[in-house]
Amino acid sequence: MEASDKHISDLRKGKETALGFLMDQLADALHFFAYSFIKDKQTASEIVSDAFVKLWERRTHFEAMEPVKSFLYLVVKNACLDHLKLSRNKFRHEEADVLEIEAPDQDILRNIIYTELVELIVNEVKKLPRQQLQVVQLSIMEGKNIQEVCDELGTTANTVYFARSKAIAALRAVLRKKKLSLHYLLW
Amino acid sequence: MKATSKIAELIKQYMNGDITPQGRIILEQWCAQSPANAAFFKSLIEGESLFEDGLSWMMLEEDKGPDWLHNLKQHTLDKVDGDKSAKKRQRKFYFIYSAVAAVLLVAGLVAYFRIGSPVADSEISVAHIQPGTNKATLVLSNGKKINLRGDKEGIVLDDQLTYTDGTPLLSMEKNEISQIHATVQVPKGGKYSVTLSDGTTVWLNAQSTLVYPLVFDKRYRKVKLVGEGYFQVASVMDNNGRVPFEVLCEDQKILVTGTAFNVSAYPDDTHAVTTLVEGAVRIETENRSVHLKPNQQAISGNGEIRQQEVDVKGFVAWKDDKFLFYETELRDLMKAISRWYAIDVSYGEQIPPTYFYGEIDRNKNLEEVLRIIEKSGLKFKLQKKDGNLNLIVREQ
Repeated sequence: MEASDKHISDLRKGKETALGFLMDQLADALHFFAYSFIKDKQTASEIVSDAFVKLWERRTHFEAMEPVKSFLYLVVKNACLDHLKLSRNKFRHEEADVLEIEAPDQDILRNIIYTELVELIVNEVKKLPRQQLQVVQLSIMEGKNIQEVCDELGTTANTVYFARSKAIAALRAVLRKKKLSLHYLLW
Repeated sequence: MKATSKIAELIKQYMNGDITPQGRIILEQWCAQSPANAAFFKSLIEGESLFEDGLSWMMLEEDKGPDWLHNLKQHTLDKVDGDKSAKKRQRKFYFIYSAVAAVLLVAGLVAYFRIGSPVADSEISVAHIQPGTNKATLVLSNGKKINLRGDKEGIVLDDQLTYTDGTPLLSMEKNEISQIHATVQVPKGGKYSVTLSDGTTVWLNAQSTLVYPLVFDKRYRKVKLVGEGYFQVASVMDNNGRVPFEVLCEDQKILVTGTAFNVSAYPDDTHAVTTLVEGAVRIETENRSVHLKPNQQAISGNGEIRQQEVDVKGFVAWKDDKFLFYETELRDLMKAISRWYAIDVSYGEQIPPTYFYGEIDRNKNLEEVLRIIEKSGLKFKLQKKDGNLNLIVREQ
C-alpha cells in the first residue's frame, strides 16, 4: 500500500506512467468484476477503460490507493448497471443481477474484497505444477474427459501426486461437482 | 480503514488454515464492524462461489488473450492524451480476442526433458546413479573395524556376532564380548539392520549411526542414534517388570518398553521426528516430555516438542524400500533422495513450496525417480563439484 501511494502522488502530478501502473494492478480484476455482471467481455473492457479515463480526469482528488480502488469499482459497477438497464431486453435473464446491484446495502468494499479474493485463488492455481495446469487446461477449458487428458499428456494414473494448498483442495471439490473429476489422475 | 487487499489476504489465509493469531483478530474485528461483513464472510467460507468464480476468471483470462492488458492501456492512454491535447483522434475502440487464444495457463504441452539431453562439460547424466544398497561399517570399542558385507542384510549377536543368515562375522571370547560397545555406521546410499542382544532389531536408514553395547545391562538398555532408524523393541521382563529401553538422540531421548517406532534425527534437520507404530513411548527433551500413542508423532527441536496424529506408513516405508510421501515438502523429499542416492542437493533459485503425495520404489535408479518428481514442474541437473555429485533443482 505504501509503495502504491507513491504512484498515487505521481498520478496527481499527471504522470501517465502512474495510470499505467494502476491499470497493471487493477484492470484484470475490474474487468472480471464488470464481466461478472454483464457477461460481455468487450463491453466490460470498454467500461474498465472508461473508468480509468474518469480516474484520470479526477486525479487531483486522490491521495491514497484505497479511495482510488473504491472509486474505480464504483464507477465500473454503475456503468454495468447502466448498461444492463439500457439493454434490459437483451439481458432479460440477467434481471436478478440487476436487482442485486441495485440493492442499496451493497457495499463496494465487499465487492472489492471478493474480487481480490478470486484473484488470489486464481494466482494460487497458476502456481500449480505444469502437469496439473495441463490437466486443468485440458479438462476445464477444452472439456476433455480423463481418458482424453491421459492420452494427450501421454500419462497414466501416476504414483506421485502434487498439491499446493488447501485452496486447491476446495477448488478440487468444485471440479468434482462439475463432473470433471480429476481424481484418477491427480489424487 | 483496513485495506481491502489486506482483508482479502486474511480471508485466504483463514481458508488455507495458516492465518496468524494477529490476523485472526483483525479479521474478527472486521466481521464485527457490521452484520453485513459477518454475513459476507460466512457466505464465503460456506459457499463455493469463490472457486466457481476462480474458474470463470481463468476462462475469461484465456479468452481475452495475452495482449488484452497492453491493448487496454494503449487505448486508455490514447483517450487520455486526446483529452489533454484537445484534439481527440477518432479511433475505433477495438480489442483483439484471438480465436486461437494462446494457452495462458500452460506454456507448452510437451515438458522439455532436461535429463538425457546433451550435457555441458561438468554436467553428468543421472542414468547411472544407482539406488542405495546394504552397506555399513562396524566399529568395535576394541579397535576392530569391519566393512559389513553388501550381500547380507544385517547383523545379529547370538552367541557370537554373525550376519542375520547365520554367516559368521567375528568370533570373540565371551567375557570380551560383554565389555564391547559397537558402532554401526551406514553411509549415504546405504542401509543395514542390527539385531541387538535382547532381540531388538533396528533398521538403519542411509547416513545413520547406531552405538550400542554388544551385550545389554540386565536392568537397563540404552543405545544412541544419529540419523534415522526403525526400532522393533523386544519386550524384556525382570523381577521389577519391564526392562526399560532408551534411545538417545541429539536433543531428545526416547523411553520405550516393548514397541515399534521410527525415529528420524539427522543433525542437518531442524527437528527430530519420532513416529510410533505400536506400543508406547515417552519422548523427553531438556524442557518437556510427551507420551505417544500409536499413530502419533512427536516433533522435537530446540527443547520443545509438538505432538500430532499421523498416518505412520509414510514414515516407515523406507524400511520396505519405498519413498512414501504425504504432504511432504520438496526439501524433505530431496533430503531423502540425497541420502539414498549419495548425492548432494542444491537449489537454483527460490523453490516454491510444493507438497508431494504418493509412493516411489526406492530400488529405482535416480533417473527414474527424478523423472517422476520432475512432473511437478521441476528440472534437475547433475554436476560434479569438488569430487562430489551435486544435483541442482530448479523450476521448469
